[in-house]
Amino acid sequence: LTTSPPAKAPRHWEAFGASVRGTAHVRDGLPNQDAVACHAGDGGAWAVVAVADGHGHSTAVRADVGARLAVQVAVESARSCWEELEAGSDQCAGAAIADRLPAALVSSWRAGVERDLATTPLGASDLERSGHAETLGSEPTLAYGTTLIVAMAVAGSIVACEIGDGDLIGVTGDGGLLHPLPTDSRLVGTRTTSLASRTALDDFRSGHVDLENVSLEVLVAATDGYVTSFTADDGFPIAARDLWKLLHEMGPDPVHNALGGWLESTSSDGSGDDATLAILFDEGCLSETARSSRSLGSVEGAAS
Amino acid sequence: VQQGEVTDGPELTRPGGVVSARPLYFFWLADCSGSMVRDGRIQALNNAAAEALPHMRRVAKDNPNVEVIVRVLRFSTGAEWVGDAATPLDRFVWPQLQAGGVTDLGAALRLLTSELQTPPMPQRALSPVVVLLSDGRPTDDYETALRDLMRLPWGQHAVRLAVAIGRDTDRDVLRQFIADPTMSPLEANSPEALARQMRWVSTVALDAASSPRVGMVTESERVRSIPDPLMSQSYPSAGPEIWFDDEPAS
Repeated sequence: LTTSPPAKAPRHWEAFGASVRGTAHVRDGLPNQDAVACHAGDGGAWAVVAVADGHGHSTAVRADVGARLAVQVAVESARSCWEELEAGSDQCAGAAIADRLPAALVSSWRAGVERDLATTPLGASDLERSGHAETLGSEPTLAYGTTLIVAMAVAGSIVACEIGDGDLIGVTGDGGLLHPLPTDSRLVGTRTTSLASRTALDDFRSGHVDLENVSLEVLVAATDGYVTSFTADDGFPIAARDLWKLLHEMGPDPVHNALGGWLESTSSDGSGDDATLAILFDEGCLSETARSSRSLGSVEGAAS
Repeated sequence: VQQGEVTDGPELTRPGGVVSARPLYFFWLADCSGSMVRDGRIQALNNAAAEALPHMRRVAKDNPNVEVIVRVLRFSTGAEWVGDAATPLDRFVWPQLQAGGVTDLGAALRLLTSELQTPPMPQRALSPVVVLLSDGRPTDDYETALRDLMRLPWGQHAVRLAVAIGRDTDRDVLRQFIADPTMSPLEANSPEALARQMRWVSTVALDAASSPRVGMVTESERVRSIPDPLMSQSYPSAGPEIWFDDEPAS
């Protein structure tokens, strides 16, 4: 007598996030230079989260614009992947997407920057404020410098890529932690690689996780301002696991409602930097109680 | 700071562990060779550092999201950390350094290199500030030690500053240590000038290094040790006073 393994329920992906201005930015009169975008499409068949941290370096006089642009192109790229998959493309396996996503992000982001510069060229006040008039004159893209972390659930895989600092952690069904991306030993202190760099494509780290083999339930992406607020080096992984537990027990609505307050107090008591966090989760991770009491749909938007 | 509670909506414990200000390590590398006895240089250094401390604390207070942690490394014949561990600025007391021996800068850089590994440096630390105070020229192989230091990410990205005490300091060595042509060694030719320079690095440099938004340097640019806000500040002058003589330093 042989029995077939029970059929797995299809994954149903959802996403939400929040971003807050850091107390150091408030003190210095700077805007929130982080951005977040989250989207779940086609009834949860695919979803994407993106967080970006516009550089505080004086050259990056439009870092907030660059960060918002980065998360927007991340969502558009994920949507394109999904549409190609629906159209039957064989280039949509996780590994193939992970390979080409950084190039797509870099070219789309640069095109967006060029459009913005065409509409609103850098003025004399921008150049003066930067203290790097000559550098920006020859390379205006640096005005938009930002990091970017993208995680998308598509085609039975999680595909992720990252340039710069911040962190991305997955939590499996048994509470285990999974790092989908390799680390970059160059990122110490406040130094970071950048989407605005000429070497951006080489500086991207990308990877994918085949969900046939891994029971990944939650992915948490956060900018440096949140990650570096924790005293212990494993503070962010602990936070990711805590969020997985809270989602399981309470469902996404209370977590989503509390997220902004958590980010504010974590940053205020910690790094003082802008803090941004996005969560991508499989509805299957919710307890029966949480599932029956929830009302959340998809959430979309960028931080202001 | 312990985990907080949010009061808006259901009461949920804030995720993650303990949060706190980001650490900023401030290392003084003090030349305690025999030549520092001359003209009361070592005492001038002790006095200048002690006088700079209240100013340093004032700047630190203005940056509540940064915890400044101080450590002194003395070098003469060999090198050693003064005190068992790095000390938070609010509890730090400048040690009364004594001078004698030669100028083993290489030994000091090797000790610093071991401290700039992760661990013991926390991953989330801000770029450390390292201030080299010297009146002479190295008597050991400092070049190999400096190369090893600069191979470390924390070594490359430390804010490296140097104060030349007296006119016979080997400035080429200090420039190699700074490794940034946009920044020169600070000149201190008298106790007053030394006090000014110590106060400057303890305040302006500390403030610049304390910003969480200092350091975007894309990999396409040359890596610089000096944060941008610091470059916009004018150096303190060496002053007209020449108290320290020109005899060869040990």
